[in-house]
Amino acid sequence: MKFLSRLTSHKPALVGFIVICLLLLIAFFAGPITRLLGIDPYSMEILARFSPPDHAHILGTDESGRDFLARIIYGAKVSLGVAVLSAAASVFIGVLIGSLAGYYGKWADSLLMRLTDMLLALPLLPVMILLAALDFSKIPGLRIVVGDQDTGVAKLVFILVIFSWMTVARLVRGQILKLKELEFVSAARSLGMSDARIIIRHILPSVVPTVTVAVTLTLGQQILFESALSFLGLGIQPPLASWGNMLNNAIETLRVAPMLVFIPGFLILVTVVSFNFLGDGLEYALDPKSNQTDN
Amino acid sequence: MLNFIIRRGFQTLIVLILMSFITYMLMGLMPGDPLDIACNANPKCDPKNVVEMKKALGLDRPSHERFFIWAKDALQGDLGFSRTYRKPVTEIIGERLVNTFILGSLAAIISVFIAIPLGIYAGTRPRSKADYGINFLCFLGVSSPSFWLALMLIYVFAVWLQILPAGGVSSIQASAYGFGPMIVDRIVHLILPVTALSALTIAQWLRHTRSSMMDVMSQDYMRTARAKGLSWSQAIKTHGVKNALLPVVTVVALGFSIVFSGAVITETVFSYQGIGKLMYDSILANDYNVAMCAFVISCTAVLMANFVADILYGVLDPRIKLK
Repeated sequence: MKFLSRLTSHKPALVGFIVICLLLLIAFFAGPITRLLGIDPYSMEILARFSPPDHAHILGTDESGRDFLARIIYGAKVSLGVAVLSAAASVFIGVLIGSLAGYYGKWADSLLMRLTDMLLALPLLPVMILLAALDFSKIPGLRIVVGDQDTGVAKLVFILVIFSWMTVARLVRGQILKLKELEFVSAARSLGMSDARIIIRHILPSVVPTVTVAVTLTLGQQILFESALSFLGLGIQPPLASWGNMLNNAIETLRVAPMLVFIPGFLILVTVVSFNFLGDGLEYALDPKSNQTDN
Repeated sequence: MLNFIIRRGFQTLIVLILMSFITYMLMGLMPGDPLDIACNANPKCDPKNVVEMKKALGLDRPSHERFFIWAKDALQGDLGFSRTYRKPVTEIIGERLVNTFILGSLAAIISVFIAIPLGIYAGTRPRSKADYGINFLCFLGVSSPSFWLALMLIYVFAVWLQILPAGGVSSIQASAYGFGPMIVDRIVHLILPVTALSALTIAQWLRHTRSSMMDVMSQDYMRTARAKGLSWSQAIKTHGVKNALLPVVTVVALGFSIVFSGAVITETVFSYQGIGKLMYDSILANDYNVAMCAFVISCTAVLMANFVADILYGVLDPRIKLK
């Protein structure tokens, strides 16, 4: 396995990979872990606001007297969950649109390229803020997205996906344009294979490496956008915790309990750095031409 | 070339018009109607009046019709009236634009002066200790949530050391002490926001410069330059840097997008009265006229920057044929 040995020789990528696995485990087992520790992210003790760390609350409590460690653990679940969901959805949409545009070309292709150009040219954060401020239940087709109780999760994933499928779509389209004129594709077609099967069996496997790198880097971006929108109060809605919305009242908290501001942000930083390191390492491991251990 | 500029300019214009139209339609989907809110706040208000009022203001018409009325007025310089500031939008926007322009351009200039020299330094010494250090810091810069970085700066310099103000544009009585102290006061208030805003652009531009420089260093013409007797530093100065900076120019022009995107967060954290904070506040407060205007201005600035970047790309590098 040349790929694995190349990947593990890239030290930052290895560290990033381990950190991400740990965080995913914590996020996945958030319920059992907090129950084991006997803490709850939602129960408030108004009289015990900003209490310093002790036996009952290992990291102390927040501005509503909720256990901070429990909120960090549940925050991991929400922050990583939103990033993974939106990345998965954007890969699906990107592959679909990219294959259609690349394989059938003509107007579908030029429409796609114009659309991606337009979306890539926008100032992302202001546009996301605008969309996040909308009342989705006023839009007929989108009412199902938010459901009855609006926790912000579905809405946020929806918004993140709108602005993240383009990279994958472009990569897939480029690869298909390159491959569709080659002999093995005409051979497959002359054997009577359907277009869908040609794309899935013969073309998509060759895009997997580049798409994997793009997705890893996108995951980091998604976490940053999620936290920024939640910080502004437009993303994940309390009482649900995310690393971003735990910093909602940070300006006031900063003077009373700076650790409550430091920890969630630091975790975001560590997670995003890990994803970027991993993406970097994957790019290096998948590119046979590169022989340097950095960049 | 001229052909390209005209076509690209036309495209930009279309995107801008589409963008404003979509935004206008979306504003109608925000929770809460300003007139209903105003009426609910006033016990003497009769719901019948609201209906009459909406008719008088043309608010009963479908939103696509209202968009054209808005666009016509906007082109004639009438941007409407702000509900929360109780002033015409044109009176609010000017000062905010100037504030954001100061913040953004300072951040951009500082970023260029830090990112490019460091990028060249690291790129000419790949895999040295300095290169690893710089590269690691870049990773941190690209990966840190900008609002958290801003909060940490506030904590260290305003709460803990107490040497810099935590936010705002200027002190309340600053103008009372004359012109000199007023300027000093403005600068003191700018230090933290500019630092927070430049962190991301420095990291991104540095990475681009570094990889572009590394690319150039392995080119044949660099070997030729050395072979004909130029010293290492002379070869870099005369042949390396110019070629390496070509792609960086476009990246820097595109960086306006980052500055405008980032300004929303930075301005909000530091309560810096710029266009980004204005947009955020007015969207939250249902102040549609202001939100619309701030948003369209931000988008225009970014689209213009992209337009300029595209043209620069062709002008600076004659090898690229633009069609």
